[in-house]
Amino acid sequence: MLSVVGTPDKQETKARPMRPTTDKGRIRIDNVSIVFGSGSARHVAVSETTIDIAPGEFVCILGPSGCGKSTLLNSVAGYVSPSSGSVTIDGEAIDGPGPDRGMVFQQYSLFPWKTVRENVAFGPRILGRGDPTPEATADTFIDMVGLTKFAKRYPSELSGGMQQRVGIARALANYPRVLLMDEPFGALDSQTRHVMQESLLKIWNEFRITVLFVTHDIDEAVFLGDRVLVMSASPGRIIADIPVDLPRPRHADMAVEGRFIRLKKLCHDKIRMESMKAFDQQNT
Amino acid sequence: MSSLAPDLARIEADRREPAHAAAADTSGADGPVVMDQPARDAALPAAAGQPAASALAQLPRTTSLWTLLGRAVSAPGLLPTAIRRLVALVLGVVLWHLAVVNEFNVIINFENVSSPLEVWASFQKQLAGSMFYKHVGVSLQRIAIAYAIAAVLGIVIGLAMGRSRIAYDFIMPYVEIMRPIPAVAWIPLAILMWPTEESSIIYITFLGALFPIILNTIAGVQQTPEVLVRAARSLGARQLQIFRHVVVPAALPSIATGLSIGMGVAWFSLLAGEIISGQYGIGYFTWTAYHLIKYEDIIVGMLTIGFLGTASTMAVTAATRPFLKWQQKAR
Repeated sequence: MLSVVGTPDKQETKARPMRPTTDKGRIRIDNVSIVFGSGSARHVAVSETTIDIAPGEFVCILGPSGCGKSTLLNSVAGYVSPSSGSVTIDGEAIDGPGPDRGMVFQQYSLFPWKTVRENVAFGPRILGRGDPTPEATADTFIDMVGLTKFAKRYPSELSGGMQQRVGIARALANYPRVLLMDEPFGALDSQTRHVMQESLLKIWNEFRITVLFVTHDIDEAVFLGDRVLVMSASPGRIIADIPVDLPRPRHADMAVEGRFIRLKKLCHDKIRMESMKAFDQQNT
Repeated sequence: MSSLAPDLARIEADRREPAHAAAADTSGADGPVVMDQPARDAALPAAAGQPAASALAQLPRTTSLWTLLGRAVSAPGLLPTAIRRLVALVLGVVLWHLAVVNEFNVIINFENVSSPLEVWASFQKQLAGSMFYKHVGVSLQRIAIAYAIAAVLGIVIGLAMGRSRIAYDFIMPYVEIMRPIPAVAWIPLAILMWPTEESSIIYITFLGALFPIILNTIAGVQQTPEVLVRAARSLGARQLQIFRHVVVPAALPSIATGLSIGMGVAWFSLLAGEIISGQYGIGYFTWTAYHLIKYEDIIVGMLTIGFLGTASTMAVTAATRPFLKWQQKAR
């Protein structure tokens, strides 16, 4: 596992599978509200939220569980339709899930009956849009996440971190315009999580794809993002848009630098202020 | 959904203990216990029997057989498992022999039961003749036809019911009402409905196999993880592709369970049909042995049924195993 991650230089010299252009992948979330149920069971998961994400930008949505951040992500993915407002990718309205938006889930979502290669080749194969060799495409992306040796294994034979890596390769193999990640490292132990964050940034650095990354982990959001959108619950809305001016490429050492800690504190204070407010409201 | 809950609970139980559940499924009969118990037990010793024998032969001769046996019975592992099971069987046969020889008669009566040696002699006599093979052949053919139809129809109906609410609501009432009707109760109507005796026996056998296959297939489809369906959709899969690449594979382990339970129930139903009607078949053979006062042949027939039931269930398990390769790697 660690040895796989320890060969980033080798990856740099490999043929690049990625699209050089970064002019595609603008996400616009425009005044979106998402309401579940009605009457007394009515629940506003997302309230009048507007977000504009530039092509190639890495944006983290940070918030506590149940604040509606996954719901918001699902509206971009196409699993949830906004009750009002609109979500567009490059100006095109979203109509259901589609291969132009790669999705990485929190739970392991690989097909257990397919090998690593079959999982990654699944998208290219069923799309059948002139990809004559889905396997070759799959192998390129499997190599990119450093799992070439495991191409013929079944998901159950891989560790959690490896499975998520395959999940990322599978999402990217369709050459999506945006990558949507719903707490992808939430189930991993903290060491693996840090390793995964670094390798995700390496992949992103080569790919320069737009990433919308949902997390409840402040460190993770600050370490990964160009911007951190802090979200608050009931109703779910963005309460802060914090630009992260840490230089790239980022590495683990930065987490102890002053700048990093100040940004963390900023996020922390925003969340704290909001929960204090909520607490006061409950008690008056 | 609530109407399905008991079924699902049962199916859940089936998954944990398939052979045992098959016995429960055909409630009110002793047959499946006789026939399914070995089904569960047979898998291991069949594989381990030979190494066990050769390993014993290699051991130094100074050690007494009893020490060896004692050690093998108490030690863990596959080899002792095989020996333990063999010892258990031998013990049972010895007890049976003793009960017959001493004309044991407390509550249950062994006076009219043939001894193991008589049964063995009669079995060899049957093997030498040709009628016995005819009986076995006819039964196997009935099973093959009935089971093949039940497997195809059961999987198709189960997949449809698992995927379509409408199909589920239309078919489930029939499944619920017909499933508890035992094979024996079908005999009069089957004879009236079907043109030949042969077709009515096959029909009864088919029905027995059908329901466990349908119910297990439904359960398999319904427990398809939602996240996998979502993943497939985000990768661009359409309904039919999701069905083929996600729903069917996800249901396969459960379908395989249904298929092996179905095989057990098929034998049970076949025997019910053969005992009441027909002129051939191993069930007919067993029942006529009683009427002809050839009591040793009753036991020959019963043991043959047990053996065939076990062997065919093992064949089903072996046939489905390649499709579940991914699952076995998980263990």
